[in-house]
Amino acid sequence: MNDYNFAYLDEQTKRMIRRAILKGLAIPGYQVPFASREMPMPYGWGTGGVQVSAAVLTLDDTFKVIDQGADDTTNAVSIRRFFQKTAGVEVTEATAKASVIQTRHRIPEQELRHDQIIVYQVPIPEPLRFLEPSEVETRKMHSLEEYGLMHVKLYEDISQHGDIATAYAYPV
Amino acid sequence: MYVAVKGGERAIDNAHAWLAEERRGDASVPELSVAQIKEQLTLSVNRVMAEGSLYDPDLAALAIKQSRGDLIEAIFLIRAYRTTLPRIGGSNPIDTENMQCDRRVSATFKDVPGGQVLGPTFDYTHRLLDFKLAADGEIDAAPQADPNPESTPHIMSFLDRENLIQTEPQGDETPPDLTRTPLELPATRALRLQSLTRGDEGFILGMAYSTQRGYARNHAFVAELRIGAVAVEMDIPELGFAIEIGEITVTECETVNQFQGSKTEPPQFTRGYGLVFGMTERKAISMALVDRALRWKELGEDNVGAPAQDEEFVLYHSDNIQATGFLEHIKLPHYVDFQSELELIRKLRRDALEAREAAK
Repeated sequence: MNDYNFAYLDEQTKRMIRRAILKGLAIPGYQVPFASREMPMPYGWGTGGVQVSAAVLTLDDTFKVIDQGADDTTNAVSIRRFFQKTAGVEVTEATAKASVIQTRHRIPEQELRHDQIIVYQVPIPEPLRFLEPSEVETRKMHSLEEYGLMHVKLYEDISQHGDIATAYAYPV
Repeated sequence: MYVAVKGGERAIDNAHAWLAEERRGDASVPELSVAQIKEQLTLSVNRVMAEGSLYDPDLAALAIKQSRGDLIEAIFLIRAYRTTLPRIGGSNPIDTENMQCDRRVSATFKDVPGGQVLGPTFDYTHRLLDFKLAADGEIDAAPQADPNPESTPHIMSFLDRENLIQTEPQGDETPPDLTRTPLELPATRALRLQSLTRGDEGFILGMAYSTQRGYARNHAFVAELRIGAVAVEMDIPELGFAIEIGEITVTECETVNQFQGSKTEPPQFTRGYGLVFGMTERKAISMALVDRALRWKELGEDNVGAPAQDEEFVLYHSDNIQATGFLEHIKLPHYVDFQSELELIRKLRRDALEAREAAK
């Protein structure tokens, strides 16, 4: 894979992604849009996380991938191999040994240290998406802190089922 | 470095080996060459270049071979390759007025300077299977004519002279690059057009068709459809002038649409525009219709709630690489997600059944 840059993406793109991360940290709750690149694996299979991993990985890193709580599912294997091939980094299945952990949907049980990075990927980061399909509208709702729809959903859940009927995909 | 090889890894390796074997097919049949695909499956190559946003017939042909003829998969290969290429800069706008037209037809005027040229079209073929092709593909040479010395001005320019067609704002600045900056809505027309030209042909066709059937009908005529080669020029700052960096074949479609006028605009014709890499006529016409439908706001038209008028709906769902990836991700393991749904539904059922028992 000598035809590609370290960790696949070019340095300019990686810098753009790191800037977006910094912006996200600086403005809590704001979802920073960035021009997602087509990765050589399908969109929706962790490519957002893959781009973030590519942007933060260095040669000395040890990389771990979790997919739905497991390291040995086919997609986790595929992502781990991708960085073995394109970045030549060490990989591990042990949480304590990893310096960068990319995970799809789940977090490791073991408590992480300050020097570890977790790349947390979800398919649809917008918690309001299933209540309002339009991105233009949800952006407006966030800027006005207009969460009436969510309150109504929670109220209806409790009044109909006696409980909040969201199994997973809680906003983080 | 030690990595335990688990079942998943071996399964992946074996699946890839089998895939390679299936791609090759029966080994007693001669292997298909990339040159054959490039020369004889040109329209597939064109579609892959258009939706892959990369003008390279050799790589597109290779991608088609590698993907076993699955064009969306081929487009995906090209996109993933393209994304690693550096952006050197923006070319000057291509001059389609000076296109060497292989094909040029107008549905609005019969006699036009430069003439109508049918070119290599399927249009008037009868769609009967040609069993001779199954035996051998030998053909007689097509009749030749001298290149047309006349210039071929855009047909729209005739309407322009009488102010019958709405004018477009001019500008010299390089439009933003959809593949380098996030698509934020509302998008400019330049970004919409970039998105449409790489959008899935089937999706854009369906959207365009919906406008013809009455969902934001905009009465389109094909004022002109032209296909041919144009030079690509780029300003080189060190030289201080533009040089030709290559030649590409494109399909350009301009539609003229009826417009009753609005509060701000007098009655006049309006335009829809389609421009697509290669000979990709169906896509270019579809693109022009969808472009026109998306312009309702700037033209002061009503939003009738039609899907083709909804910029977010069209632009967010036209990309077949995103769509196919996200669609197919639901076959990945969702064991934990599903487990939590199971637990929830069991709990809700238990509560509901207990409540029903108690009510008896």
